[in-house]
Amino acid sequence: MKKDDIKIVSYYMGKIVLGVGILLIIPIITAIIFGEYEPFLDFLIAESIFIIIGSGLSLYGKGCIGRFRWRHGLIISALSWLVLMVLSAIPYYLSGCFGSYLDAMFDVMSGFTTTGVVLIQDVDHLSNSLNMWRHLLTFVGGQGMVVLALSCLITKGTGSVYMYVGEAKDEKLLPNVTDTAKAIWSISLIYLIVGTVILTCAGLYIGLSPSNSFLHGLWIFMAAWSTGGFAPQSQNILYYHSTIYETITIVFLVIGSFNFALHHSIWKGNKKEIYKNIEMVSFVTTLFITTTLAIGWFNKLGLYQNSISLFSKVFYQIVSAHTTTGFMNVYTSQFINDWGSMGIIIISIAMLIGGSACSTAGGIKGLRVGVFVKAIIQNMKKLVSTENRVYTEKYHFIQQNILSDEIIKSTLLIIILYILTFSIGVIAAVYYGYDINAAIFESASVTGNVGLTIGITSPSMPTGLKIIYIIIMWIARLEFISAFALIWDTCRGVKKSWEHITKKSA
Amino acid sequence: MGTHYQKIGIGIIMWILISIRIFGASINIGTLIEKASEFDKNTVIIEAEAIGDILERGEYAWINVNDGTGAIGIYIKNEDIDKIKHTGKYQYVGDTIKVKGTFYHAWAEQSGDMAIKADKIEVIEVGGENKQPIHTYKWVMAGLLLPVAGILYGINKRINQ
Repeated sequence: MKKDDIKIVSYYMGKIVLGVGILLIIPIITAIIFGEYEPFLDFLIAESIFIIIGSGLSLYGKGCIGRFRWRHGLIISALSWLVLMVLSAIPYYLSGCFGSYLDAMFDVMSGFTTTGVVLIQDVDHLSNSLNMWRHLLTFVGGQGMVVLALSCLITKGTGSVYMYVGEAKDEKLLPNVTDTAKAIWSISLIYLIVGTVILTCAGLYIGLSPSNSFLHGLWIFMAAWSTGGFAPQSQNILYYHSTIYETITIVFLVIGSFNFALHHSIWKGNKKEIYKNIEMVSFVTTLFITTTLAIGWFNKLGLYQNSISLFSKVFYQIVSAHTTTGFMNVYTSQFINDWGSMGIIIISIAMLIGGSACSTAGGIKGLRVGVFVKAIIQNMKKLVSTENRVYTEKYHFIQQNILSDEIIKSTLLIIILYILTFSIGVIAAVYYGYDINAAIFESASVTGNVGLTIGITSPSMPTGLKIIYIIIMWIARLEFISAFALIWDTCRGVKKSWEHITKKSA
Repeated sequence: MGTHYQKIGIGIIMWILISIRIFGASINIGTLIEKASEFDKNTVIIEAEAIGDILERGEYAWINVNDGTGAIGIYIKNEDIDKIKHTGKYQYVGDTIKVKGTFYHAWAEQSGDMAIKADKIEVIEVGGENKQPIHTYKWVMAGLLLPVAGILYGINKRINQ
């Protein structure tokens, strides 16, 4: 990478760091309101470091705008997530709730990627400001940090498109990417207001104190909409002991897992899209299959004796897994002890499939599953047809699209990469001595950015596995391309530096 | 003399056995969750800190407790709520309560929750405020970093303009 390239990357990364740094004002205000003085200082320190790093990067890269290429966009997106992981972990670490800085970074990456597995300790005694930061990170991560910066700090230009795509979002809601980013935020903020009001009312109804009704309502909405799965209490959703509260969260986490292009289309009055969209058809079909299998399995086990229990525990967990949210109303050990091997396989499949493309959700995505099935149908038709006939399979996604070989190829490539990443996660956990079933479950959760845990993810897990899971969460969330671009460039840089050193010494 | 000590010894053993019979030996929540099927519908005793809000539901209420090995919901009668004065949250330690009740692995009447229906609760340690002094190094760090951040931000903004 040349000096000019570094300057371009530095300039835009500075902007992104400053953009995310603005968010720290929210936990700072929360700390002031609730008289949390030590967290207030933690966030003040973090804010200062964000501004220093952000301004420094921006100043260094100043004057190098206008020669923006694809490579820059991809590297900026991938690198921003890593830099922001390090910086956003500052208030986490200063809070004293983490065993190490690595644990704090693990939780930040888990939040940004809307995964939801945590290493934080003593969640039940966390300050409101720290909880605000945790949930804010997952909410922003769902939309995308680059999307945030594009919508408020970075002006229009070709670079915006490259960075936007680099963050695994390729749907253009509007002709301009900056306007698209603003539209994504508008949709999310309107839902945020509606969701918080509904969950606050529900919170009051189920017996939460007025202030907690609001705060929990806000945080649970953020975690549901972003399919993040964080919660302010250690028992996660089980803390509320309420089917009503659970049902409301189901609605928001399902809506949150939909494609932003679908939201935009429906908002524009195209309500038929919801029935025709390939992702919706794919989601409903796979959800129906996994739920039916799971309920059939639990009927055989006989653990849950009525339909409300089956709905609350089995259907809820399947939806939570399929939308890659990771809300839990059962204990981690129940997956091993109660769900059994069949249950683990079903829920792992749901986690790997995931939600929609260009949404807050993770996983392989409904669009790719739909395209994959259509490709199989197309090939089967070709096989049984007469030689002269030409089949053209179509699929509906906002508009009618022809299923080209190019689309099939790119879809298969991403699916293969997901399965490879998942396999690496399984092998790593087995290497560290975990049971194969547990390894499959946890790896599916981390690769799909889900957040359900079978108990592997804990502060005492091996450091190597923590690092592997961080990399998996990051790569899977960015859907490989930008992460690979960064890794490729870093390797080239290291190789060149090595050659330079060896030449000099010779 | 020997008979006297023997009597005291037997008395102590009897007292322990009677205590276990009446109050039972407490079990930690982590073990309960891990071996849920073994304890299903059995009477258990736990000692843990009350955390979060008390969620009132008609004649009963939910209170969640955490003993450091895990957290679980306790379904208690409304009349027992007043016994708990403090619940754990930021800078507050909740009352430590001893709960005797029936453990449910998947309580059908409560949407399949793993929980305990309390027969008897008692506060064994009163909680309260637990404010810790602010670390001095944080004041120093904030005092040093904030002006630097302000200056850099100002320069950046001026150059951008």
